Amino acid sequence: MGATAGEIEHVYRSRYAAFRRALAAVTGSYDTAHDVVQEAFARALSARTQFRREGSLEAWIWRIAVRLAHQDRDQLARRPLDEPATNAIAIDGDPDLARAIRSLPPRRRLIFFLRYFAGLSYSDIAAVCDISEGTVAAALAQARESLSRELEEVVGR
Amino acid sequence: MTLDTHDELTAEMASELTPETLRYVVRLRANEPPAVLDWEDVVSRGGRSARKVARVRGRIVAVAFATAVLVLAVPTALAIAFGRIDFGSSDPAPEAVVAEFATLDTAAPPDMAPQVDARQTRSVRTVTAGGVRYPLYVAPTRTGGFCYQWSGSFGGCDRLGTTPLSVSWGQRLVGGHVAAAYVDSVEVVLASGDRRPAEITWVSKPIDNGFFLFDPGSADHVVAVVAIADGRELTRQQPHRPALTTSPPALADLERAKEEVRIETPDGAASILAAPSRVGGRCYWIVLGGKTFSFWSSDGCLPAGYEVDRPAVRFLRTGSRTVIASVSNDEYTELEIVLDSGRVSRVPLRSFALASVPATEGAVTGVVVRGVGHRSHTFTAPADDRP
Repeated sequence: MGATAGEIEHVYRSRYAAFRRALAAVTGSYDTAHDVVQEAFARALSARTQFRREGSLEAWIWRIAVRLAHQDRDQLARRPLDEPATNAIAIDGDPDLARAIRSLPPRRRLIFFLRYFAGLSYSDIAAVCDISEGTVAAALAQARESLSRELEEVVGR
Repeated sequence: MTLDTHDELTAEMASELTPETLRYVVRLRANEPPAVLDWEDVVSRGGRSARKVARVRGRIVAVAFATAVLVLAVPTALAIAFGRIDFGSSDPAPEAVVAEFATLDTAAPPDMAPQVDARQTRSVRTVTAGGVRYPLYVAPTRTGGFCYQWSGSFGGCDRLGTTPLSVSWGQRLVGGHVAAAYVDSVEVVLASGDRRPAEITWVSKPIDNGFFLFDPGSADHVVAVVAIADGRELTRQQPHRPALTTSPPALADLERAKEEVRIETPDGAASILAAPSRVGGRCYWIVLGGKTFSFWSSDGCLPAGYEVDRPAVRFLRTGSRTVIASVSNDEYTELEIVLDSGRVSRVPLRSFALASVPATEGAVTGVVVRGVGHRSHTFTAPADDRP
């Protein structure tokens, strides 16, 4: 039972970018996302004996990270919970994408990022967000449809 | 051993998105700031959390740990002979460590399991770096290599035991291993220009490798680690090896180098070259317009016995075009080059492929390497691969 430090380090080294990328969608900045990633892995490291191997180690760390990211966001009282944190996704010269993603509800945006920016499987997203795979699939379909519609409008202008 | 690969968007994921959305996703991924991995920071933060837990749990764990360190330190010192620690007479590692090593196979992807013989894990030595004690545990693999762990710091596996020099980079600490068959000593090059010898813990067969852990102190940092053989530099590793290099891989036997594929571009000829490594294995590099580029952030050579197990792709941008170079194995057959216009160009891949895309046709946003049995790897074009 439990995970080894080496296993956690392996997840960190191979998946750091994915963690930071997806968490930036929650926290609003890559810097804050980096801090959340560091803290999440630190907590995973210190609590590794509690990992029960009932799911993937990465999904377990994702749960810690997403919870921390939401705590971090909640602590920023200046930003209401429902306000999308999308500074990190407003890439230079691409305001249309930021606007399109900003239009997604926060939970759907997180699921979208976990899938297409962090590369998680439907089952891992379900484990991270504590929802069923069917709900994941539905949320992704809705997100894709919303984004596609928004982006088509941009292209059609 | 870890090879540098670009972050991937799998074909399965890409197929779920419309071309418009996919293009935006690829662009956003390509525009994010560089990754800044800092495992030491994680360990440090984890230590703080762990100390909090330890206070709650009382003294029992601390006493047990102190006892374990004492038990480890004394017998392992007895196993040192002729500057090399005899693996066979080193003490067995504690059960908890053996259990951790046993999970290395189960945690790895099926084709990357190191096949470690965890029951043979030994407590080799405890060294002090930066005032911190790091016990070293080592276990052989069933394929002639080994796995190791500096407790609380670096660790890894060399499944076949043929890697001449492998380096792990922390924020300050640098560690790794060298193969005794090829390397006599290790020097670290500091940012200040100083070169210092790294203390190596040599471990006898079946490990036959040396392990090092170096702390440059807070006022300096390591910019390169050099493996020395017969008084000469054999190879070196840097923390951030740029794509553009000044020469082919140091280990490449240039007299036996072969041009595998070549194309002509207005910016000069582009070619992929391969050569046997002087310590076994094989080296690959790219030449474009007379300049040399590496495929990987390591030294550009695969150690003996290791194959190209997954495709590698380099995007080389000149002022007028993007040259795409790929090395792979025969399980992959085609490159799909994706432009920001959404257009896709296909190039055959027979272990090697080169393609040149004029800037007038649009920006290259990524490449999908396709293979048999629906195998595919997607590479997004980074912004910084410029000659």
